[in-house]
Order: sequence, then C-alpha cells, then structure tokens
Amino acid sequence: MSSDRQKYIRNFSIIAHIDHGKSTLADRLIEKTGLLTQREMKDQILDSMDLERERGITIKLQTTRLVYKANDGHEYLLNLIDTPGHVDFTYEVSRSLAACEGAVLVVDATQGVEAQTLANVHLADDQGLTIVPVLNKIDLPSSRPDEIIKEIEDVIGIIAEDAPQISAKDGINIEGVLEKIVADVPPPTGDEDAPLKALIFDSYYDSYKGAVAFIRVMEGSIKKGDKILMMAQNKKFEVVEVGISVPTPLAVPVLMAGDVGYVTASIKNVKDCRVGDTITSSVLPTEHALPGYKKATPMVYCGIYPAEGESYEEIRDALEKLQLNDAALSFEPETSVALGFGFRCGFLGLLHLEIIQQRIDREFDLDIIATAPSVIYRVTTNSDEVLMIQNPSNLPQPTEIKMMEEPIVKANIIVPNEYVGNIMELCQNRRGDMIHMDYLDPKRVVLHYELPLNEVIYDFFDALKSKTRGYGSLDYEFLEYRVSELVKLDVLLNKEMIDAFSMIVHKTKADSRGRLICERLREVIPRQMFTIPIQASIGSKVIARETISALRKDVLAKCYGGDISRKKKLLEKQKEGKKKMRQMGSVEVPQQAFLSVLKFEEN
Amino acid sequence: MKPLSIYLHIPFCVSKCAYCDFVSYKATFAHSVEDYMTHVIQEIELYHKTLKDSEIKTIYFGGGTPSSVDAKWIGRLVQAIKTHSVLASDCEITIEVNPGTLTNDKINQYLAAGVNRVSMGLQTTNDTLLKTIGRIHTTNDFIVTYQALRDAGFNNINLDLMFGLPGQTIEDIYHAIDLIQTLNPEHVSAYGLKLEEGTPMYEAYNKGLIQLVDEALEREMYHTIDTELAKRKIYAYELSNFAKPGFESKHNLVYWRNKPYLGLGVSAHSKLNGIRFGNAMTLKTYQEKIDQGEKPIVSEEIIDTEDDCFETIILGLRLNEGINILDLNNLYAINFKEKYRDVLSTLIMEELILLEDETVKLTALGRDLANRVFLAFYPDK
Repeated sequence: MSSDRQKYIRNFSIIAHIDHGKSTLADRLIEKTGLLTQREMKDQILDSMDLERERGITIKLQTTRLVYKANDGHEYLLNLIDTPGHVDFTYEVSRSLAACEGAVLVVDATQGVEAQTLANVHLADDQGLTIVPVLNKIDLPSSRPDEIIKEIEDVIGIIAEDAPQISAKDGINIEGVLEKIVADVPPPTGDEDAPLKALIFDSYYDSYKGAVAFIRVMEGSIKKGDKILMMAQNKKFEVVEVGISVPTPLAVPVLMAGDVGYVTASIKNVKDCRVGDTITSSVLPTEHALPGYKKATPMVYCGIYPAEGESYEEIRDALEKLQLNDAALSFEPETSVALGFGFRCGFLGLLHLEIIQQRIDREFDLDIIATAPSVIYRVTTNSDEVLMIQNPSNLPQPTEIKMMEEPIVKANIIVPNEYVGNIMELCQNRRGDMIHMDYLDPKRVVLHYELPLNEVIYDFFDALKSKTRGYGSLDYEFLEYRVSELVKLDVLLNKEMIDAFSMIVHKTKADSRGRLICERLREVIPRQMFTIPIQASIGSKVIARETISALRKDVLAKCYGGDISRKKKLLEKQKEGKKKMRQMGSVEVPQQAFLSVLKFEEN
Repeated sequence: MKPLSIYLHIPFCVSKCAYCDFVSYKATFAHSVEDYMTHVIQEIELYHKTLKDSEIKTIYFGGGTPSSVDAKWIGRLVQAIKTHSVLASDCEITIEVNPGTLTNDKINQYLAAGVNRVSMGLQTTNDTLLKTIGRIHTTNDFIVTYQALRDAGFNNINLDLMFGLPGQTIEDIYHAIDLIQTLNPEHVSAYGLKLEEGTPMYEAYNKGLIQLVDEALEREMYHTIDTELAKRKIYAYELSNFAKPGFESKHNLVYWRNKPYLGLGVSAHSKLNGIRFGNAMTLKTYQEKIDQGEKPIVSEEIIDTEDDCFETIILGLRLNEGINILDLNNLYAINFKEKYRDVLSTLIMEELILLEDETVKLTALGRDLANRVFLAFYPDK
C-alpha cells in the first residue's frame, strides 16, 4: 500500500532504441513540467557529457525530479531516471530500472520495433515494471501509427492502442505522456517508518563533497546527521546532505521511502560507495540487503598503454576517475614487452571501449596506445587446469592446450527484408549460426543468430550498418562458451615478435587476417635504415609476409642562405612525427599502426 | 672591421625552368629591370651602417638569371657596395649565368666589374632531357659559352649538374662526367632533383605525366658523380659540392660555417647579429617598402644560442671537413661530447657519423641519410 505521500510520486525511466527520440522526449517532459525556463534548456539537458552530445547517444544515466499538476488537480512528483540506449549499456539500463516502477517505451512511428526496443523491454519486464508505450515522430509523413501499434502488440505483447501519439521534436501531445505516466505507472510502496533500506543506483565523485550516491529509498527515511551503513562494503558514515536532482543538486531535509535523490557523507574513497549496494541505518539496520545487481561483466578487453612521454601513473589516475561513474570499466596492470607498463582494461563492448579511449584523450589530455581488442577465452590445459585468457600473450603453448572455448552471443538483428541476404552473408562470414528468422511485418525481419563474440567486436556493427544502409539494428547478449579451433596469430617486425599485435583468431580466419595486418603495417610503418620484414605467424609457421625496403636517401641537396629556415621547419616536422613513434625492438612504429591493425574494413 | 658576405638576388630569367621555385620574372621589359636595380641600390644604402663597419669577403649574384639583364647593372651594384664598404683584396665575386644569355661584351663588363667566378648550369648533357626540364640551351650552347668565359680569362668556373631527373640514366651521368673531364672546371655542384610545390614539374608529376627515378638509382647517380669527379681531382667538400683544392666556393662556405651574410633584393635572406630575416617575396611589396624608406624585411627570426648551435652543427656537418668540437665548445660554452653523448653513440652505431680526434663528420651512409643525423641533434623544446 502506498502512503498518502507516495500516492503522488511516480518513478520512471524512458527506454527506446537508439535515435527513437528518448532524450528529446526527456527534454520536453522537463519543459512541460515547468521546472526550467526555455532559456535554461540546453538542447538535450540530460546528456551532460560533450561526447554524448557529439554522438547523439546517452551513456551515463542521470536523474531529475519533475513537478506536474495533473488533470485530476493533484500535483505529482515525477522522478525521471535516464537510461543509456546503446546495446553495450544493457547493464546500466537495468540499474536505472531497479529504481523505478514504470518505463516509458518510446517507439519511432516511422521505424517500429527495433532490436534494442526488444532488449530494453525484456529488461523492464524482468524488473516487473509497468510499460507505457509511446509513439514518437508522429509529425513525419512516413509515420505509420496504426501499423506500429499492431507491431508493438504482436511483437512485444503489450496493449498499445491507447498509446500517446506524440512528436517530441515539435512538442506535440507531451501532456498525453505525462497523464499516462500518472495514470498507469504505479506509485511506490514501502514502509516509511521501517529501518532505512536504499539502493545506490549511481554515483560520482565531487572534489568537495566526496562520493555522491544516487539512491532510491525503498523503506524508511534518510536525513542529515543519520548514521548509515553501506551493507556490502560494511563501512559506516554520517550523512552530510540529502537532496534531489532538478537536475542540479538541491538539498532537502529528508528522503523517504519511494523518493529518489542523492546522499553525501564525506565518503573519500569511491570504492565505499559501490553502485548496487544497499544503504541502511548503522543504528537500526535492516535485516536483508536489496538484491543489488549482477556486477557488469566486461566482454571486451584491450591493453591501454601510455604513449611516448606520458606517464603510467597519470593513466592509472584517469582510469580510476573514469571508473567512479562507470562501474562497468575494469582494469588491472599488465606489462607488455613492446609497450612497457600499462593496463588491461575490460569493457562492455566496442563502443564502450571507444568512448573510454576518447574520454582519456579529451578529459585527461593523455596520449595512449590501445592494443587490438579481444574477448576472454577459456582454455583447458593438458593438466585439466582451466584458464581464462584475456591477453593473447598469456596463452599457453599449443602443445599444453587440451581445449579452447570462446564466448558465443545470442544476437537479434532486425533488418528490412531486402537486406536479409547481405546480413546472412555477413553472419556466415563471421561464423554465425542462424537459429531462426521471424517477420515483424511484411517488410522487416528479425534474424536470430548465434555468433562468436570475437567476430562481433571486430567491427561487426559497422559492417551491419553499411550493409543495410544504416537500417539494420543489433542487440546481443552472452550465451555460452563453446569449443572452438582457435590459434594465436603473432606479428613479427624484423624477426622480433611484437606482443602488442598478437591476437587469438579462429583457424579459418588466420590467413586472411594475417595478410591484412601485414599489408596495413607495411603501409603505416615508415621506411627505416634497414629492410624490415613483416611476418604474421602461427607458432613457427609464417602465414603472411610483407617487406618494407630500407631507406636509401633522406637528404636535401641544396642548403644555402634562404633555405635554412625551410630546412629547419622540415626537420621540425620530422621531429614531431618521430615523437609519435614507438620503438619496437629495432623498429620505430607509429601509434597509428596499432589502430590500423584493429580497424577492419570488409571489401 | 667585421667580415661580411653579400648575396644579391636578380629575379629575372628569359624563361622559367620546370623545376625552379625561386622568385623570378621574365626579363622582357628593360624598364622593370631598371626599376628593380634602382631599388636594390637604394636597399644597399639602407644598410650603410652595417656596410661601413664591414670588410666584404664575398659577393654573389644569384637568381633568377643574373646574366639575363644588362651587364652594366652588375658593375653598378658592385660600385654601390664599394661606396659604403671596403672589399677584401681577395674578395670572391660570383655571378650565375646561363648559356645563351652571354655575349663577349657582357663577359668583359663582368670582368671590369671585378667578377672573378662564374657559375653556370649544364644540368645534363642529354638535350632531350634539357628540354623536358625547361632549359632553353643545348649542350653545345653550354660548351660555346664556357669556352668564351675561359678565353676571356675566367679561371674559376662552377658547373651545375642535376641528377635524378625523370628519364635520366646512369649513362647520362657518365656522359656529363666525360664533358667535365674535357672542360676541366674548378668547381662542380651536383643537385638531386627535388620536386617543389607549385612548379610545372610538380604538377606534371601529380598528374602522372612524369615518373621520378627510383631512390636506388638516384643514389647510384650521386655515388657515381662523387667517385668519378674524385678521379678527376675534383673532390667533394659539401653534400652537393665538389672542387679542385683551393677552389671551394668561399661564399657558400659562409652559409655552411654559419657566418654572417647580408641578402639584398627580392626574397633574399640574411643572417646578421643573431637574427635571420627575409625580404619581401614579391617585387611589388619589395619596391613599396623601399619607396617608403624602409628595409624590405617581412620575416624575422631571432636565433638564440641553442638554435645557433644547432644550425652550426647541421650546416657544418654538410661539409666534408665536418664540425670541430673544440670550436663548438668555445663558441657556445657547452661540453659537446657530454651534451650529445647518447646522440653521438647512436649515430656512430648506425654508422652515420665518424668521431675522429675532435671532429665529427658524416660517413658515406650519413651523406645519403643526412636528415636523420640532423634530426638527432634537433633541440628538444
């Protein structure tokens, strides 16, 4: 039973496939509820990071409190908890959803149900949330509301006939959405007088306040001065401030069961403020902690090393700071023969990896070298020892290996039917098994595939987009480990193995991959004083080879009075180029080489 | 009296060569030549203070084609310098000339002006190739002009060669060497072709109309020139320059020894009192500035000690004599061997340089890869 206070609270998220208009709708809701003036509205107020704005996607969740006077004459407090939309961020979506009772499902009325629509609905369903469907982009001439309503009902199995038909862009029928939230999303419940039980669903670090925890109070209440206990960490603190996010922080006297807000408690060590942990009172603790979440499991790994002139310590510092509000990022120190000291980092997916790399560059201004991404392989040795191998360098000798297994994902790919052939070909090239195929409507198909993850991380998403003219969408989740014929592909420069270029590939892919890497390296490594053989090998067997011929001439014929300035500029440019090089054994390798080995273009 | 060298830029040509990116104009209109020369004489006057305290060691008329203009101007320019300064008794005065632009009358006027060294472009003995690169003379024109200079009494003549030209063969190089043997010049400059942006040759290359010789052949040509000239007692003393002993270009040695020089005329560069400065690159700006009574300088770079030391090193290493460590230590108050310890050991290991007694020199390999050596000395900033 909801208390009288709780009756007027609604906690909800917005879920959608990428580009279906989630962030725009969030902006309109904020605007309509009148918390902010037009002037204060930035384009997309919830996407706070530059990078998100640039890519048009929401990575980090944010939360805001809205005040809405409904048609029934009552004033409601609506807590909007934003969720990321991309396939890599499923884990963060489930974090947001755990703090809610309902989810607004935005579906593009021109496009219909997409792969991530389905994935997000499943997550919301698992949390037992009420789903409120909304048809967006109704202003577009190509919108097909009736067909899409039917599609939602058939494919997702929820009633959509009375779904608000809106245009978030033009602000059409935003009240319809707000009324629907008030009417359909259940109010929170939870005993306000019980011992405190609050879920930390996000946190960030503030240099003045220490760690700031975003919480959903499930039972009891929390206020300044309260003695609290982080149940999983078993650490005690005293509350300094509680407040709400509007979306800037606003201190309030108390947060009670059903409320969403933040807590600060002079928490110096961010690890003590773990997302998913339960906060209770250290004086009168609750008996059982909340279930929390499954820890985010990194699926993709790569090595991150300081580029020439950057320090290892600074990179560690950057990674630690990024980890504060990106719990899905994991890292541990590792050493590479070629690259020196660095870190092996785990990511949710390739996009996550790319975003972290860019954030290190932009927010910390550090030059890094990232090695080719890889997944975790399960290796059973002859002595029946099971090893989880993230770094190709740690793979035991082939003679010691009894069995190797690789992670397989279950992928749902939605494409217009004219591209089905292209995608089946792509998936076949990527060693995929088709499980079945459904028609969403006469024009669109869902392909259910089982694919090796190491094929998916290797630019699969880009290939999918280019083979469907941007219309294809993808969602995947881990399925299982399967026995596979895998080999370690090594790259040798001037006969020396460069560990940073090593990768584990399927036996059938080794030759083509090896050739491609050798060609790429020949293109990007400048000629040096000696001939450089580039070889790709499996064990001692060379499978591909290229040669960079020796530099025979690097001299300017003329140097008289007027030439000296020009000559110096030329040397300066050469010097700059040299700074970006990495000494690999006897060979100078530009940083670009590492990226060019990673990037893949399918012909 | 401080020693000083003077470069005078004469930006006129009968026609422009396909590889040339120097500032030059067609010398069609006598009045534009006169207009320009009057401005250069005014520029000389603007430097009267500098000239007053200097003894002029060398004068160099470069271009362009200095021989394409009325020879009286050469005499007047030398005279203008003499008005403000003293010429050393052994002052080397060089003029660049092109075959086909000279007459006996001109040659005699040069002699009268005090010119004692002539530099002339042969480039190649392959006449088809000469045409391709936009030269207006033939090998025969060259021989005729050369003979006229010798007959007039010039006993210090430089001959320019080019190698690595599109379509050039090693046989072409041997032909040129044969001619050199016959003509017996005191000095030879041999330049590998470098495509400069904006030249017709650069465009032709980008359009795929011409192909450059490959690097291995280009080096073979260079090495052939080096060896064959040495057999004829014309020895390399700089990366692109060869001379009989005693006939090394005094003027150009000033650049390579990083000594002061004053450049006059459009686009000319100077290095004086720790400052390098460049004149206006167009005739219009050049003349306008002078008309306003200003020096026509448009760019200026202050060379600090570190830069100067670096320049002394890289320019000096172009010379076969190399650089003298004790001189550098004295000049820049450094401990060269200490300061460049890692650089030196790497370069020695790579067989790019030799360290003998107190001298550092490029090896034969170092001369092919000189930029790598220079780069190693580039200051970290």
